[in-house]
Amino acid sequence: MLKQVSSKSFATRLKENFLRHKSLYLISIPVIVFYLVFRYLPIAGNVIAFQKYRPGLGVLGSKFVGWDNFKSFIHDPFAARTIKNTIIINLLQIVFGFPAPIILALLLNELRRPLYKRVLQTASYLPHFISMVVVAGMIKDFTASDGIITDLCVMFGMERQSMLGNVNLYRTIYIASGVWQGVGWGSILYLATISTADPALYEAAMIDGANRWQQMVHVTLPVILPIMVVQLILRLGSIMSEGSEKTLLLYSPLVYEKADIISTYEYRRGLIEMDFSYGAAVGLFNSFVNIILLVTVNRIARKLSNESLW
Amino acid sequence: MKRHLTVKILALLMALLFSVVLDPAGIRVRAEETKADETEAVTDGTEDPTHIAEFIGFEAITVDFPEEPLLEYPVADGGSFSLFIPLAGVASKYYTSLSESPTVIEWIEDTGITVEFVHPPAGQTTENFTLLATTGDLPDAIVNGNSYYPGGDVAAVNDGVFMDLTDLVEDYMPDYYYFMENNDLFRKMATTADGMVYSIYNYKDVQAPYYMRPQFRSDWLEEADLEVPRTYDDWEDYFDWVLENQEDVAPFMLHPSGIENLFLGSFEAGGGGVGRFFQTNGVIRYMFNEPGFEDYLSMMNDWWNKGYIHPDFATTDLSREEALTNGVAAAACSNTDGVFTLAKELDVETGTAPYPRVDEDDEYHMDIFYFPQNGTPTSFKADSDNIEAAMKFINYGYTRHGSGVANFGVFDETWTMSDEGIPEFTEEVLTQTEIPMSDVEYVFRLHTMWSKYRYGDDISMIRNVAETETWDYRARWGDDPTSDNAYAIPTLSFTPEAAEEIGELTADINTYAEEMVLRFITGDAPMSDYDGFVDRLNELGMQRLIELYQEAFDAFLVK
Repeated sequence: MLKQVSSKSFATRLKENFLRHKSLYLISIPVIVFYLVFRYLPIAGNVIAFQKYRPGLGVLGSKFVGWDNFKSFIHDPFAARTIKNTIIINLLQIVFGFPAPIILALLLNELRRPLYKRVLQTASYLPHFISMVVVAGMIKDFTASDGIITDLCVMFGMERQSMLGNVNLYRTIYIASGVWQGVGWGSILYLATISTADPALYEAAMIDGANRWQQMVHVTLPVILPIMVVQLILRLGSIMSEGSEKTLLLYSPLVYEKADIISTYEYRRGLIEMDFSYGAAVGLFNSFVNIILLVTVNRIARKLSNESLW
Repeated sequence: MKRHLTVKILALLMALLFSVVLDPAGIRVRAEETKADETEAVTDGTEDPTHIAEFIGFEAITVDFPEEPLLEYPVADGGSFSLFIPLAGVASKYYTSLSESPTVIEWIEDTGITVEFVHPPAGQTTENFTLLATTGDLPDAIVNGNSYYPGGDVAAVNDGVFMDLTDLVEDYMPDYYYFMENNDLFRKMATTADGMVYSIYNYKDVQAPYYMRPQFRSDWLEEADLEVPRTYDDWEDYFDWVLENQEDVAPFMLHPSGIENLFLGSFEAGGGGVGRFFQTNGVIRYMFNEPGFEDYLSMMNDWWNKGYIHPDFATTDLSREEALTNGVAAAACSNTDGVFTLAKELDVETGTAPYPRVDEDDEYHMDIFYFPQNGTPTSFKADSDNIEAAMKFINYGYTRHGSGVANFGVFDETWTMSDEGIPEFTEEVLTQTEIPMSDVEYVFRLHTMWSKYRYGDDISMIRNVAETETWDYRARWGDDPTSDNAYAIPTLSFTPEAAEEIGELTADINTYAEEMVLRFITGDAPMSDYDGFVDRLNELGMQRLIELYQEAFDAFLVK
């Protein structure tokens, strides 16, 4: 069979295949064009990372400077701090934000009253639909020196203060609010997967004498494991690029030390100062680190659980 | 307190429109008179600071229009051109394109030149501009292109995006050129070190009281039985009273950056109406390099510890105008027009104070000086085919009659010419009630437009003429006898290399300094670390930054 196919030239095969699946090919054209135009073509624009790009001179006319932009980022006095903050904030987000929806899904799954379950579920994913700007405004209000969350913390002995202005509380607020906003939405996927579990498995477990906890550990968890791994890999893949919008809305110079991440520093340098080449260089650097992380994690996942993206 | 949020936002928008977006306004006082007072006030000081204009070797003069316009209107075979200009928020309520504005219709009729407006989508002006510049599809003329092109309009000319106007301005814009010829300070500011004309700028040669003032709740000041605060001790008395007598009110809402410009002025550390860079006798000085900056931080840290400063100042979304008028804070340095409008709306009483001093008879040299080059540059596309039409169109705003249309609207409908040759609004416009006061400046006239000769806002804004209280509120301390603008510096133009280096240095210095300033004030970093702060700034290249400014300033002086 293999031989048979390869005996014909590629063009002939393509032609035959095309004639046979004409409509399929036609349907796929818009998608292919979309990816070419919006995902692959812009990659070429990265060439300005190696230039001193001036909009007036264009990509062809701007001066080529090699690795200069990358060097100036690495030598930047604040580069190390922003890289460190980016990684720490994202890791914290994964440590607290990744298990939260899984736990919520498992808990919801154990509820036996459908109405109660549905109400709870809806309430939990509502915050996802609030725009980030509004969420940030709420966080700012609630954690101001006279905000409701501050009031609560003061009841438990905290000194009254502007919580967002406290460099030691900033990350806690950032992560906790992220969990609150994302936990419900994140659990939908797991709940959907859980519902596909074969009831026979639970019945078998019950016959074997498994209690509710054991059923969860030995039936439910293995069912959602593949999804968990894929989710974790995807999340780790975006470790260097998440959070710029929210950070920009929440931080102030007072907490730069622990809040300033690559993308916000980059925003101040690249967009406010309109240093496009520098921006492109940092972006490219970011993507490069991201790819390395993604490949590593994928490999580890495959070794440990046989689940992976590719 | 938070019930009137919508009202507050609307009022704030209105306030912003009138005061921040549209440049500081001007008062129609002859500049020579103002200047005479100021020079007198400063010459008996020991340091002998000199009035900026005099120091540079120029008078802050007012130039009258020539008898007849130098270019004849309407222009025969005027032609047409396209103009890139954002549609200001209020204007977009009434027009989908500026071509519907009566002022513009009159302008086109007067000049005989037609114009096609290119309005970028709201909020995407820079993106839209960059796109047009990259694809080579820029319109013939661009308003404010200076702020959309990286490195500004000079860089845009060097990169071949905007046209070098040096050889064209005399022929196509003789009325603009007239002001360049007759006001040397304007010429210096409107050209680069080697004499290139790169953009056409607003011309305005009248001075005005600064729109930023320390402000307080006058009802509380009265209740506390205190005089208007003049020194920091006076302010502390007021703050102490607030702490004791007003529950849940912070005495002072500090600027979110912790850098309160009006205060820094009295510590000789820049700020005021001047900025982070200032000059004494031709030597450039920089805020973070000044010993006075340490004194300022110590005082703010002391205020913080005493509970004078609002604990959320660095993170709050509330503007200082809102904080003062909503009972959140009892004082703030802020925009007078904004506070006045909000206070009226929310029915609270506020007052303005003079620039605060450490000692009552300290002099204050950081008051604002309104340079004749007054913002809103119009630039022209490098390879425009319609350059003559475009430039002649803009030139109309620098003729006597054209400047009337530019500032006052439609002749004989909204304004008439007084016997002294100064435009005046008609009674109908001043007394009309159909259009709300917040919108009039865009319905009967066009407050933001392309470059023009500008009159003082006290006579050219309908609101200021119809309701004089706003202006009076702002001008209350305009004649402070021991305050002058001796330390002012003009907007400097840099060589492309210098501009780039400055960009890199300021990015690092600002990131570090802005963080440390807040930490010093809130006590997160002890004041004993201040020397280390200065050392670190020097490592980040602060001295080099000052040097670059000095070079540009020296070049400006010998121009």
